[in-house]
Amino acid sequence: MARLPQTILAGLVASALNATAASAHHGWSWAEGEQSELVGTIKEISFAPPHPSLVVEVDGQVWQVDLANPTQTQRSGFEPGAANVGDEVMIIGNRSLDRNENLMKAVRITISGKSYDIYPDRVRN
Amino acid sequence: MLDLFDWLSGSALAQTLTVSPRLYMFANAAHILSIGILIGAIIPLDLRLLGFFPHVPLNVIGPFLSRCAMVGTALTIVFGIVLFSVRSREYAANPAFLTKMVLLGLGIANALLFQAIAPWRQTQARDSVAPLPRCMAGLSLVVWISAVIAGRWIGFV
Repeated sequence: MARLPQTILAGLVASALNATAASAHHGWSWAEGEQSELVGTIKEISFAPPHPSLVVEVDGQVWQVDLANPTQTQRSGFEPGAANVGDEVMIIGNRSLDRNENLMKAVRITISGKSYDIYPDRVRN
Repeated sequence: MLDLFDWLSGSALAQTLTVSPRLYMFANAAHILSIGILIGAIIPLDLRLLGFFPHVPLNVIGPFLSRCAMVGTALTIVFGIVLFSVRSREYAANPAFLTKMVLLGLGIANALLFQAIAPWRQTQARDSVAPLPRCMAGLSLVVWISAVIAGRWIGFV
C-alpha cells in the first residue's frame, strides 16, 4: 500500500515529460512559425467548447483543424450554418511542428469566397 | 458506450453549451469551484491525519472536512459530466482524462474505505493516528493532487 502513491507519482511525472511534444490548443509554440495553406473538403464541423474544430480531407489525408476559443470563433463570424460538411475550405494557419501530425491551428478560413478571420491580429495580408 | 457518448453530445445540454460560450464558462468555473471545495478540505484533513498541526482537534475537523470533501466531490462530478457532454467521444479517448478517471475512482474508494476506520469514529480517543489511516491519508493526498494535475493535462495532450 505504501508503494502505490510512489508508483502513481512516478507514472504521472513520466507521462508529463512525454506529453510536452504535442500540446495542442494552448499557445503557438507547438506549431510552426510560418503560416501555411490547406485546401480540402470539410468532413466534420464541431462548435463544441473548449475549441471549435474542423476535420478536413486534403488530398486523401485527414487533417484536424483547431479554431480559436468559442467566443473568438463566434466573433470571426464563423457560426453554425456558415459551412456544411462537403464544402470546400481553404485554411491559412500554423501547422504542428510534428510533421507526422496532420494538425493545424487556423488563423483564417475561407469557405465559398467568404473569409473568417479566426485570429485577426495574426492575419498577414 | 459510444452510443451513450453520442447521445450525451447530442443532448440539449451539450447543444446549449455549444451555442453559449458564456454558459460553458460558468459551468467551467463551477467545476473549478467544486474542485476547490474538495481539495481545500481534503489536503488539510490528510495533513492533520499525517501528523501536522497536532493541536487542531481531529474530532472536530475530521467529520466536518470529510463531509466538505464529499460535497465537493459530488459537485465536481456533476459539473464534470456537464463539461464532458460537449465532446464526450474525444474526452473518452484522451489518456489524461482516463488517467484522471482512474485517480478519481481510486480517491473515492480510498475515502469510502477510510470511513470505516476513521479515527473520529473510534470509541477510544487516541492522541496519534494509527498506521493504516495514516497510510490512507498519504495515499489520498497523492491521489487527489495527481487527479488535479491529470485534469489540467487534458488540454495539453
